[in-house]
Order: sequence, then structure tokens, then C-alpha cells
Amino acid sequence: MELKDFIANFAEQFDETDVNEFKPETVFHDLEEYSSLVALSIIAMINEEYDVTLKGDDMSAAVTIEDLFNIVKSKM
Amino acid sequence: MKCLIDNIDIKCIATCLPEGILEMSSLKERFGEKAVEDTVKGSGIERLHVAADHETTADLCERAANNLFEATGFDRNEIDGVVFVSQTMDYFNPATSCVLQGKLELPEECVCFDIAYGCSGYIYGMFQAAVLISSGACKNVLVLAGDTNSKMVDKNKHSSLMVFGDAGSATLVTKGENKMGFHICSDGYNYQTVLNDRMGFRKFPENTRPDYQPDPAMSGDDVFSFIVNVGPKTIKTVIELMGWDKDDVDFYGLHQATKITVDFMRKKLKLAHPERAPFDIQNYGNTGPTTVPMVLTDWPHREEGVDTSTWHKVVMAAYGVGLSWGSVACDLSKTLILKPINQ
Repeated sequence: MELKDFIANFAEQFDETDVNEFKPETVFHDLEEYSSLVALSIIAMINEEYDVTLKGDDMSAAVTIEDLFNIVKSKM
Repeated sequence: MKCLIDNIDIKCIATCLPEGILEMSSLKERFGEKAVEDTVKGSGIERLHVAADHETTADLCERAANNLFEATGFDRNEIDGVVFVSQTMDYFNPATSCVLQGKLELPEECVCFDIAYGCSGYIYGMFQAAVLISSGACKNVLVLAGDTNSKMVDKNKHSSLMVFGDAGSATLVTKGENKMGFHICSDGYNYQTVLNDRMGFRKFPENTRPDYQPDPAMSGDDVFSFIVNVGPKTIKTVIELMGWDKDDVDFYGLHQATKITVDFMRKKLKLAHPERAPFDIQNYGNTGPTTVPMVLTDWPHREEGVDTSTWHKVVMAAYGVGLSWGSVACDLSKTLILKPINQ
């Protein structure tokens, strides 16, 4: 499971944000487009691609995209 | 629990929406245009049917049941079981199923149950009816499932107000010729994921319930992740139980929580014919235990060219408060499927 692939899958859940905004250190909750709806599609993507079920607490606990990647990796 | 039950027929399914309508567009002034548009985008719901003040789930189910009796010509004196599934019963006691036995003028020799489940409720109702019949206890069971969630939601919270609508249903289950498959699961450990603790006797000592929300309390993220985890698995289980192939299933009546949920389920199941698992709640919203009978009755009477006599293999799946979830496999090709009242 590669971080750069994870970031690419993550970025695909956003329609309007420039792809260059998505880096390991991006604080994703601060992205203008981030919403509860986007959060759900991220949860769905992670279930679909990595067969991992995240909860609301996991999404809140992750600050950066890399944090989220590590949480997903720990559950695999 | 999973099992096959033989010799059951589902004679008729009827549903009833209340007359009152709430348009999502009318809420823009109150909650802001962006908030409303974002919610509609995720939920797919454009309007809800909302019960009047004096109108309860029991009333909606009663209307559906009377429609069922009229349409089928079935003699109500032959009913010997009533199962009422709802979170919005008329009274703490007596059981609403008992009250409805009286209102529907059903015979005295009739056993009545209330089952307190929400979104997964129809699965429970159908299971209870099938078990009553297959044991020889009953011959003809009326399953009355519905909710008036609009009466429970926090009306200041747009995310709940804009999702939950009201409806009632009546399904006639009898001794017959078909096989049904059932798969039902529970996860009481996570009961707090969807919780309405305002009306029961359990009280939380002060400060032991973090992030208290009235209404029923529900974390959208946790409910969604619960559904994505259990939904596809229960469907696969019941299909395997019946010896079917997922692409031979003629119709999937999925619990319609929101559009994003239904889209996810369809994608995850990798269906060759995704149109057989439609999203259908744009006009009436998440109606709790009624979403499954609503999609079964609304879709054929709304969409062109749907012929329910081809519904030999139907899978219903639902998931919700409990936490609980399950699926049913059955044959609806000979079932009389009535147009919803107030569609």
C-alpha cells in the first residue's frame, strides 16, 4: 500500500480542489471543499480500495493525509 | 441467524404516504442555500411526506391495510397474526398492533406483536410472519411497518430534518408455495451509534454521555461506515443461502438511507444490472422500516416498463438502529404490489 496511491485515491473524492493541494502533510479538514459529504466518500473509498472500515473518530483523529494513511495501514 | 423457510407466499404489499409535503427548497431561507444544496446532493432527497400533528404511524399503516384488503378482496376475518414494526408506536402500552387489530376489525383469535426496530424493521417483520406461518401457528399474517420520524427529529438540525420522512405499509404474508431466505444480525455492543434515549427508563448519570444530542442521536459517519461494512456482506450471505447468483436477482429492494449509501452498495456489489438496485427516495426520504416496502411499491409505479411479474428473485436488505441488519430473499412475481397512497 503506497502513500502516493493513497493520496491519489483521496484526491479523487474532491471535485474542485487543485490536485497539487494534496500532499502527505496536507491538513485535510482545513481544505475548503472538505465537508461531511466528502468525509463519507473518503470512508467509502477506503472500504472499497483497502477493505478497511473507518469510523467517524478515525477521521477526526487524523490531522494530515499521511495520518489517515497510517490509520488505514494499521487496520489492514 | 440465517435460515430458509418454505411454503410462504407474499400476497400483497401496500404503502401509504401522508398528504403533507415538505420541499427541501423551501428550507434555503432558514438554513442557507449552500447547507441545503449540499445536503440534497448527498441524500438525493428533494421532498418528504410529513404526517399531520394528529396523524401517527398506526394511521398510515391502517390506511395501507384497508387498501390492501380492498385491492385483494381478502377476507380480514382470516387474519390470525399482526406484526407492527415501528419506533413511533401510538403508546408505551398497549401494543399498537393490538390497537390496530381493533381498528381494522380483525378477529379476536389473532396474535399481535409490536417489534421495536427502525430502518432494519421490515426484515424483522417479514421474518416474524414467516416463522409464525411455518410453525403452523398462523395462516395469514399482516405485517404493518412504518415510522413518523419527522416527529422525532430535531427540527433545528437540517441534516436530520431533511432526511427523515414518514410512511406506513401493510404486507399480507400467508401459507403458500415459495421459499424465503433470511439473514439477521445484531451488534448491541455499538448500540449508542443510533440512540433515542429520551423516552425510556434508562438514564445516563451526569457527564457520562459525551456529545449528547437529542433526536435520535446518530453519528452520520459511524452509521455510514456501519452500513458499508455490513450491507454488502448480508446480501451476499442470503444470495448464497438461496443458491442464487447476484446477477440473476431481478430486483434489489435496498434500505434507502441516502443516495450516497445506495450508490455505494450498488458499486460494492458489482452488479451486472445496477438498474435492478434503484435509488428511489427523492420524493419521500428515509422512512425507516418502510423504505423497503416503499421502494418495492413506488419504483414499479413510477419508472417506465417495470414488470413485477418478472420479480422471481428479489433481495431486500436493511440496516439500522440496534445496531441490527439483515436481508431477505423471496419471490414477488405473483405478489400484488399496490401504488403508494399519495405517491
